[in-house]
Amino acid sequence: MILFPAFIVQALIVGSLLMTAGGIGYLAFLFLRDARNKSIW
Amino acid sequence: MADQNTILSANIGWALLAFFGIAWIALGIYWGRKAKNLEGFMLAGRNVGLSLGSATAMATWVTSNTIMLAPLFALQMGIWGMLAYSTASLGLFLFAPMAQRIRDLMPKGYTSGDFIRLRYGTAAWVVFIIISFVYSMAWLVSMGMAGGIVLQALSGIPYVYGMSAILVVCVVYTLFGGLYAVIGTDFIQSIIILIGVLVVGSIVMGKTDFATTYENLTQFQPALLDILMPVALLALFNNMFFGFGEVFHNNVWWSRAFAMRGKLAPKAFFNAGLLWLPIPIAAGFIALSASTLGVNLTDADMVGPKVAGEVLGPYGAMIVFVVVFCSLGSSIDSLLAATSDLLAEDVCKRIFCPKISDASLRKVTSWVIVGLGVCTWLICLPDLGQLNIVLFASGPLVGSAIWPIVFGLYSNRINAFGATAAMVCGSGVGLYAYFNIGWFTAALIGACVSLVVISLVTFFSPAKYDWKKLNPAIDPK
Repeated sequence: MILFPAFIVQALIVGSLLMTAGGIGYLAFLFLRDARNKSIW
Repeated sequence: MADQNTILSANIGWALLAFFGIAWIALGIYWGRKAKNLEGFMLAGRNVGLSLGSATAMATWVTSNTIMLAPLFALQMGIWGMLAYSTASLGLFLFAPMAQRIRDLMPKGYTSGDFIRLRYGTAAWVVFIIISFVYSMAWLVSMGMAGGIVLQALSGIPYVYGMSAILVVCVVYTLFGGLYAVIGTDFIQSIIILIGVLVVGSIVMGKTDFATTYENLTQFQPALLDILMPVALLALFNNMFFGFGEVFHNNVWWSRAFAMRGKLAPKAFFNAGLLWLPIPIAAGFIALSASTLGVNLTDADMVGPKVAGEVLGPYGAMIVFVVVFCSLGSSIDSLLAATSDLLAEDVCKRIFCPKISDASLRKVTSWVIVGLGVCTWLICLPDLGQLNIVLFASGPLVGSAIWPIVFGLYSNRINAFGATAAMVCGSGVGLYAYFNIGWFTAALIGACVSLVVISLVTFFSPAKYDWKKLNPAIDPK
């Protein structure tokens, strides 16, 4: 049985949490930009 | 006091339910005031910006199943299980260019049913409406059930009360606000979901030593780390095609493509895919940590909430409670709005009342929203069992709709008989596979059979469809 190496599993998990954090910031940035340009709706 | 078997007390559960329920309804009514006409109610005035467009596509795709089934996938199929669930984001990535094509072909379109009817005619449209309705109901029912189950498990609120409360809240604010309310609340819900997943994932990671978790898995559950786990690999491709079928055919996504301003739709769907991609992996990791954390799992469906609740205590359970409520709300409202549009616009207007006014059609849409809510509630009442059984049974149906949609959008050689036969044969053979081989093959087989049928019919009998029939005002070449 060939197993996923530990570093790949760890990279997946840490990467997913970092992406989630980045997603929150990116959505907030988009919203503020839309609000400044009065283009939310 | 919390029930012996629950982490939160029922009082806290009811308080959270009341707080967020009232907030969604109030915001829905507030935003719904923008819906001055039918186009406003159904498509938010076709003027949704990038931030709300990205958030609504992402939040709609984060369902209770993402929060509850992704950990279950990880528990049953390990790393590939987590990755299998995350492949559903590919549906959003691939729908991004399709959304622009849809806008170009049908700038004044309302529903996915419009496209099928104009592109392939009545027979294909009837099959498509059946597929879409069955899938939408399966999705609605699976979420109604999930709401009842999670609320009961976390706070002891009886299944029927929790399920009913969630459905009532979603029906009320969708009813008053239409797509404005849906998209507005989706933005707030998407932020709450992302923050909740990040907080729970980070705390679980902080409380577990990764090396110990990996060592435990290699010693006691090595199959979960197996690079060549056959069932998991099949599940990965099955889930990927299921995701393609879900996104490509359903009016939930088409209505958003029609609702976004100008040429924003591709960017918004791409952003949504990026935002959604890490969530099943983060949620799946929580399940893989269960044995290291010493969490005793008795109910496979509840692995995610159970681990979060036990590791983080009442506060963790509150976060999970709110995240699940938001993920349910963001999907149920979207389904209610999009399915009611489909039934009102495609069935009521096209079949029964072609001369119906916009004002009357809006009333019909409202009644359909209430009817869908009542039907979902009635089906959810008996608590049918495992969530994945409900949803995955519709996998072959949506899998068979992939190619008629994709080829129909890009090639004028596909004829109506090929599209209809592809959906019928793909659904039939896929359902046979579901009951006789396994759920993890059904969508894949449905999609493959559909591809073979539509390719053969097109090869032997190519059509030459005139794109102008979709919108006489333009010629998309």
